[in-house]
Amino acid sequence: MHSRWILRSLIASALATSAQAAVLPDVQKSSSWYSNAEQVITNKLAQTTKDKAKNVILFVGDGMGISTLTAARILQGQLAGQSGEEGYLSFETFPYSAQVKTYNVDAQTPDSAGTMTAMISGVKTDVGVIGVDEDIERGNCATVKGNELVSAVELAEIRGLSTGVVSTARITHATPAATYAKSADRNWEDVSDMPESAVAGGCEDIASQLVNFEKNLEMRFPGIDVDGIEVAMGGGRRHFLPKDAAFNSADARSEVEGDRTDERDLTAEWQATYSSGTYVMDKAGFDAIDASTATKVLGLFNESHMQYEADRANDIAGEPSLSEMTSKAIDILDNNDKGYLLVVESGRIDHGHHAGNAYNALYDTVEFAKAVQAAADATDPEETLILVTADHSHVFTIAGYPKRGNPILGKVVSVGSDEPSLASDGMPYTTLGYTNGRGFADLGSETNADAIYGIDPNSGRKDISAVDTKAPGFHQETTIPLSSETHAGEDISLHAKGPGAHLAQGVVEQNVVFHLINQSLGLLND
Amino acid sequence: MRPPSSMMKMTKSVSFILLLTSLPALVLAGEDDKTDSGLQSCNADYLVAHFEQSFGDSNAYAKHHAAAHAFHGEAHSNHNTQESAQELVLVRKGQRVAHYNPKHQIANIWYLSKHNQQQLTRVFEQYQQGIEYQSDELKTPSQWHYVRSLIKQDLLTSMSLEQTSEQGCQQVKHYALETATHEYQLKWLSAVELPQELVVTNKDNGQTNRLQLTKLENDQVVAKQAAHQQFAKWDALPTTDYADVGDNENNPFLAKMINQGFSGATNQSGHHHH
Ligand SMILES: [Zn+2]
Repeated sequence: MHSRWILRSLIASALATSAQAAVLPDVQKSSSWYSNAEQVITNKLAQTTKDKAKNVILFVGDGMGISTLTAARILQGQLAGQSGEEGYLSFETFPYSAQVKTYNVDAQTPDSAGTMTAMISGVKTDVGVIGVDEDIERGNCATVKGNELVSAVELAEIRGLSTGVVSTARITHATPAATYAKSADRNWEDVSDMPESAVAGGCEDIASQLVNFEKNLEMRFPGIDVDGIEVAMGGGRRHFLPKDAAFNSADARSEVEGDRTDERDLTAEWQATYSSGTYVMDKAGFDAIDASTATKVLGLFNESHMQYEADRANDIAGEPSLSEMTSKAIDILDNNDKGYLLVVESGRIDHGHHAGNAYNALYDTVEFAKAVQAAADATDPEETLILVTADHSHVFTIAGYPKRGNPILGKVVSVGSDEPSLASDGMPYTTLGYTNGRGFADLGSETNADAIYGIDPNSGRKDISAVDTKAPGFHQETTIPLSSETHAGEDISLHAKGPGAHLAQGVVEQNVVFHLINQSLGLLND
Repeated sequence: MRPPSSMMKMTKSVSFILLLTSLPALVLAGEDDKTDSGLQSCNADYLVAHFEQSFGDSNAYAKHHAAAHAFHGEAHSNHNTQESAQELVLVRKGQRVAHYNPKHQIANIWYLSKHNQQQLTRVFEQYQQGIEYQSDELKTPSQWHYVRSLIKQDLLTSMSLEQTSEQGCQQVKHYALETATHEYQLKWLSAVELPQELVVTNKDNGQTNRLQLTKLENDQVVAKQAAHQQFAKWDALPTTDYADVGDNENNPFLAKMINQGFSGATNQSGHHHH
């Protein structure tokens, strides 16, 4: 009965195929919506799947939730003169993607420390801790021992691959730190940030762990010989320099740039360890690096975080962009025939959101997409797996019924209208908004999102009729007044291209990212 | 940023008056005496100035100072007449200037870098912690002028000199300005570039706001030592970048800031924001 039903339905569908195709009217078949979508399936059927990669590049947009991707994609298109919705950020054209659950072991809504540890070590852990498992007690140095995880960067080093870590945040900040450090607290960026008991207990600050990476790894695994992280670039000079004005860099903005209270100059220590390495602190130094011959690079381009992309021109000594750092890193790392693992973080998308300033969050996301494109252009898709993801989301929404092509940073203008829609309070409203945070501010042409922090929270509805909400200094309205807008707990996305990319699919836990890297590079194979 | 456990070990801050009366009369060795005022003998670079501010006309005060306050992030700028008088202590040490509110135990500390960037750190003595703001480029010179001298440069230059009394370091220049809505009377200590008194009268309702210098210490030795000690005390406190506040919900002080903002952070000291 059952098999006969199948047979019958097969015959019926064979007969119907040509007839059914004819059912489609021309208006449907000739629609570019129709044919373009059909082509997507054709392309997917033609996809080939290689499992093993020579190189892996992991991109992390800090705080880059799905709504951030959608809004940034529209902004990118509108900056190019299009309506925006139809476009894609570079990595959104990658053939594979997955939906990623971000919670930490002890937190529904996570932070970057716990999430990056999961991605780079394969193990979910607690909020606020770096490179250690959930048995850690945050802030307690004594609980670190025995709970240290091994990161993919360490495994790649042991395997003889070249490694790189790039961020627009401080290079000691949670996301980059999780690639090379073990710490009971993400804030132990230098020795002055640690309680005395932690220093006495033998815990090492994060900046020091970066400089001592090679030595520490060889001590943990006697008999191995690694050559250290080839490329580390980002901000955070303050954690590498002594608290002494004599060590100030050319573009110090504090009276005393360094924070270290142990009198160590880690940039000098790094240079002494890697005598042929290059330490750079500005754009000129960065540009002067010859990627074909450089073996080791430490770039610290800001006292703290690097500038927002929109504010980058305001840096005194000049900073490279994320895409420039990415290209340079690849050019250096690909000198190794064994391959490389590169981790690139856009660290300040998160900060733009925390400030309730969509402008900077989105412009940094657009630059992040450029960096991914630069990586795709500089690598062979047959041998390089590129993974693009976020660590967590933000309480950022795209709301109302704006018409197609309406400026994404603008006020809602409905379909068929040229005037901003009015809410029931009689006032216009923006498409983009935050559930919580500092709320409305109109700082006009101010491109530094953090300028808001001088002002008390200003939640609730404001009359923005006369305000240019597309200006860099506009901060979106919010409902719940908090001094800082918060992370959100919903899933984020993972986009993949290259050997092993086809394994990125479905809804996965965040620690699966490590296993994607491991599978492609065979880090643990004998 | 240090975690709370190490904060406990830090010494409680000494009150400002105590500090000033218990100074050893020593000059720090090796300090350079840079000055940009050209009036070195009058010492405008190291000083401690106590002011009393009274806000009879809170709206006018807010209006005339809103821009500067918003830019510099001055807390408690929009108080109404419920809190009509405040003490303000201004401390100068070369390119660093602090505005200290003794009642709230909050200091706003600015540093003007050689690149004309202003770095602002706000210290909460009660919590033994500071918040550091990313430097802004100096958009207009009058902003730094306000930080250093409590009056915006463009306001000062728009006023007309009516008379000059005293001489040398004691010189007082009397300025006045009348606009459509307000009258300004300024007694300006030109050698130290500080108001001795600034009175702003609202012509509509006759209400006045007053900034009155109550005590000035600018002795070469004593003021320099006092400024050094006070800044050193503030500098010893752990600070957090404001950009990082949102990621520090586990730190009780920063969590309070995340949840309630600056105003909430001062509630325990009995101050109620409205
Ligand atoms: Zn964050």
